[in-house]
Amino acid sequence: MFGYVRPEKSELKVRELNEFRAFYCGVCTSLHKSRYLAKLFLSYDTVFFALILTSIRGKILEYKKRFCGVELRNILYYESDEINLAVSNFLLLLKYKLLDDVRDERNFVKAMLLRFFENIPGSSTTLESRLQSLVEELTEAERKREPSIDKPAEIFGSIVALFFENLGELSSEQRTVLIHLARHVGKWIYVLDAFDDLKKDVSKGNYNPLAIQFGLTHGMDIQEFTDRIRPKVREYLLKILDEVVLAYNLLELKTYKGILDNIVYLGLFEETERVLSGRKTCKRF
Amino acid sequence: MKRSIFELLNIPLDTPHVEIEILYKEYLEKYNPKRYENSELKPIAMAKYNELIEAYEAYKKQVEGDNALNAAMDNELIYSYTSLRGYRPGYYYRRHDGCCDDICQCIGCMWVTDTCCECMGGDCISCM
Repeated sequence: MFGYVRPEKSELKVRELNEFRAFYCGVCTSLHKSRYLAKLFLSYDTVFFALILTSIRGKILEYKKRFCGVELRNILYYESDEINLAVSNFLLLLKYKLLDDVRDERNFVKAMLLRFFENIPGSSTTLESRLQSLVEELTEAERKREPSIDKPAEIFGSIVALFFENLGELSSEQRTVLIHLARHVGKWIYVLDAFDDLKKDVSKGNYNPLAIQFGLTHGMDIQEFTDRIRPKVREYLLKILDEVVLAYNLLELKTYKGILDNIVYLGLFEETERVLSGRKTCKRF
Repeated sequence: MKRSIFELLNIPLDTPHVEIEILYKEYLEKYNPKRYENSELKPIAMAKYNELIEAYEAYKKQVEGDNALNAAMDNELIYSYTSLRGYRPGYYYRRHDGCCDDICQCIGCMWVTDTCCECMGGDCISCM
């Protein structure tokens, strides 16, 4: 949904970069078949989910070729059950995000888009109902203007963790580790997103947990405020990332380990620094 | 069921001894319970740490049981691999763009050089 979970491309091997691209195109192709318009919202997070799933199951996928209308050339892509599962979860999340947005903002374009996604089937009804209740909880927390970022971040983490819960064939300890990982990645995404949107939210008068937690008063210079809270937010984010790395070390991954290593050990940290510094692109090329 | 070190480290069965040791140390560091002091995952890390040590002990016993020579041979094998790592068969052909590609042409060239030298009063190869 946000696109923060991505690899540090310059540190990947060329083979791994090709594999990553193929995963990305695979997700896109799978969306192509189910909901064409959802391609507009495609993000790296879905690719990460598909990668982790494939890696845990120890599958090696084979390249397929098709013509891509966006890039106007032949692309290589992967096709597998894991990617399809990732896509269906992504669509489900997208539907609830759009529902939420439409209720909040009354955005006409999004309301139109929602009509295309309304009839998305969830992979299971229990998953959908739990997702719904968690999303409502999150909205409720945001409406009440929760003074600390911990609680909404925690709820968002639970939402991400939800998708990892009913993966069969895993041992119970591996599942615990995976859920721990997902929860903290979710938390990290939420906090990072809050920091990224700080300026926009303040100017629009929307809710932003960071602004309330660190006491942004009316008429304060936003740039100054950002500079002041940056070290604290960095510390908080790094603490979460520490948990992510610890959980990741305990996972038993079989294939595509290089890409995942790159994402977790380098990509997440790089992305943290990028967002904190407020740059649009990476510093290094 | 107990898993072997190869399963735990996710490596093929014919991995050289040296590489296994490197990987083993890396994973030992990763699972070190000290790192998990404040985490909920401590029991899992603990279990994995012990499992890894146990599997490594079993593996070592088996290697020593096979024979002591095995490890030494293994070592030699990996050194020969590394020394050959940069070599690509079929890549180092002689080039065919010079004037002296074969031995006859080479001698001919030297002869001509020497003759020219003599004509100018010098001496390129004195015995010719």
